[in-house]
Amino acid sequence: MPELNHYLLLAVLLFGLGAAGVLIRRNALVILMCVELMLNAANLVLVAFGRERGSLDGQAFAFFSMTVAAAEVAVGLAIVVLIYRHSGSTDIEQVRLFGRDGQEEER
Amino acid sequence: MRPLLFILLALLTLGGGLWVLVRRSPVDSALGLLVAMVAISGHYMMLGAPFLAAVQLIVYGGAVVILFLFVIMLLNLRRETLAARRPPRGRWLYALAGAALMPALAGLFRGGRGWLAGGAPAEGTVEELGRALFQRWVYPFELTSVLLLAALAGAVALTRQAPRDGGEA
Repeated sequence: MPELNHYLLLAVLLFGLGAAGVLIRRNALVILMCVELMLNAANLVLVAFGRERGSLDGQAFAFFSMTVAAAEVAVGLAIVVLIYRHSGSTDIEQVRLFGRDGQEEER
Repeated sequence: MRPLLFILLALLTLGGGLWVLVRRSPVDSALGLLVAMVAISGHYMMLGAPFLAAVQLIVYGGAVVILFLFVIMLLNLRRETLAARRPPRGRWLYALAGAALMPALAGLFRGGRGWLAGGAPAEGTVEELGRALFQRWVYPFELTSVLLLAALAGAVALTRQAPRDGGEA
């Protein structure tokens, strides 16, 4: 019988994976996927605590969180497409909207 | 049996997450994300949240992952997707992951909701959640429609190419 603690441990590990991915990976698409992993870990905690408290509020919160995540992905992927158009790559290391001296690059 | 199912789903969740993290090809990462999302849907079933499990499958498995794959194909990341052109070495892993999810899905369809939820009030949860969403949380619920509309308009406005003379619109 999985207890609250097990779900919390799972969520922490999943969040850690997502956070590590955001820090390690350089592909903007993969970074967005890792953000999704972190959001899902948070949702899992919300639902697990909701069950623990015998309340539906956790599920309602997770539902809203999913809606926000869906909106975030739509806008985030649009930005990735823009980055690709700007620098020809989704590698965030190659994105430099400003020059080294802080001035906007001429394009 | 239920602890076993939990461990299985947890391993699938973390394995999918790790797959997202370590694979070089973004396509592989997207598929790992799909595995993790479906496994989390199973967790929601076990937590007595069948509505959220369905929404998770539809929104994440159905929409978000496909959107990621769509953008990957749209951008045509040649160098990185070349790795995925080779016969995928992890296909047996994917097949196993899919097969491992069968018991959970079978349990869902054969009316094992109460068993999956471990005695939590599975019957009527969707109705109660609907009531909560439309009574207590009705304003946030309506605001999400504004948010989605804003995201829709924002995504279109961001990616719309400014009409250049001579260039494609």
